[in-house]
Amino acid sequence: MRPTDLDLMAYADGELDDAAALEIEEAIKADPALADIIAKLQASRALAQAAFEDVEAAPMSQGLAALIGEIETPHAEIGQPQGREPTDPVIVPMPTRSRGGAAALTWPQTIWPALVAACAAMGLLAGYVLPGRSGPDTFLQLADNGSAEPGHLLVKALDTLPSGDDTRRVLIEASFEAGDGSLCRQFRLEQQTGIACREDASWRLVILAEASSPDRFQAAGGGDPVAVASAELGVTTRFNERQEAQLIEAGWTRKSD
Amino acid sequence: MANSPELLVREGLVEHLPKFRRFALVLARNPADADDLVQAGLERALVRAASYNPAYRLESWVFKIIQNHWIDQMRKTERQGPHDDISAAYSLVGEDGRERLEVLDMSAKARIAIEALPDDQRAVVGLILVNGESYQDAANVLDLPVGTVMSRLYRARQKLIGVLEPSAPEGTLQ
Repeated sequence: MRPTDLDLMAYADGELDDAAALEIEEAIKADPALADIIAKLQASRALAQAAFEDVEAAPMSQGLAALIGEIETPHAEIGQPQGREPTDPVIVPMPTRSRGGAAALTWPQTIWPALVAACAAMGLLAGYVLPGRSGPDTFLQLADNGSAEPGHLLVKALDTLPSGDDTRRVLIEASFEAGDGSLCRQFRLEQQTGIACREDASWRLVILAEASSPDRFQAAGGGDPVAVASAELGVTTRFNERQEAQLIEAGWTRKSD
Repeated sequence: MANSPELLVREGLVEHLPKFRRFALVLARNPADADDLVQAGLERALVRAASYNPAYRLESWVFKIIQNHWIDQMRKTERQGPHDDISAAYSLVGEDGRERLEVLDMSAKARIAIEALPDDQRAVVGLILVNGESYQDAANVLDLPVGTVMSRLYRARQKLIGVLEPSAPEGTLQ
């Protein structure tokens, strides 16, 4: 069967997975004219890039040049005040780890006691976890040491759901590799948002916070604790749909693990 | 402050500045308006820097801010009534670029062809063809289904190839 025009374009742009690309290549063998179409599509991309490649060398407007100068100046006061530490995030206190890993966040040590105390004083963990309901139908549960950990439903979602699937009570928002190589997923429950990373063949909560605006791009300023934690983790790779599917298939392990 | 969202945003804005300028130029079609658009987008990104989540691509976040600002500007312009700026669509060649197409090199022709595209197709071309964004990332930036992005991209490419290859039957890649 002849591939559709959009299939050919997706092939030309390298957007198809291996199996779909193979189908296109088989179709090209049967109909060499398809190769000409793909070549034109690829040429159109190259030309579009060439048409705007001189932008980098073009002089900037005075206003933009001044702004870039300010951005490049260390500690310049633009937009949000710099150097402000988060004062009120709801952080799940993590147990001390014997070796490096995604949970080993490098928050300033002076902040940790305040965060832990705030969590305890406000009873926030109790709000997230249903005491006595650590059975198979919970998203979050309390560990023996009093910290929160993913419940059965959240573990299942982290294991199996692709990002963006909002048909369930948990939404996986993104999957990424942290700076230390850990595989992490950011999730959203009805009232909480957080990040869990793989450790010792299970998911460990790195951060759990109250969910704020569902529009991540339009959220007001104020130091989103999940964003801060994500920055602390040092995101090195954001997994695309295909990479994520491979990790789900492999049970969130890699050959090097 | 190391690895704070604010610092990541500042570093990312400078690192990816050429991408933002290219995208803005595809949208605005003249360098002065494009740099104003980038400046406004970067200022907005800085104001919201504390909320930036590094789990998402900074480029996509800023592209979206630029795109939204561009749409806001277009709506304001529409409310102010039409204005004649035909030359903006042919910024490389002045008042009547079409007559001079033959003397231009291929990349200049491509730029003219892209500038002549409708706004919605230009945005897709600016993200995917000019800047190398994936279909999915472009869909996220534009708040569109991937299928819609692909349809717009294909229609834009038909026109682009048609301009570059005038002998080909119009509206087809066959």
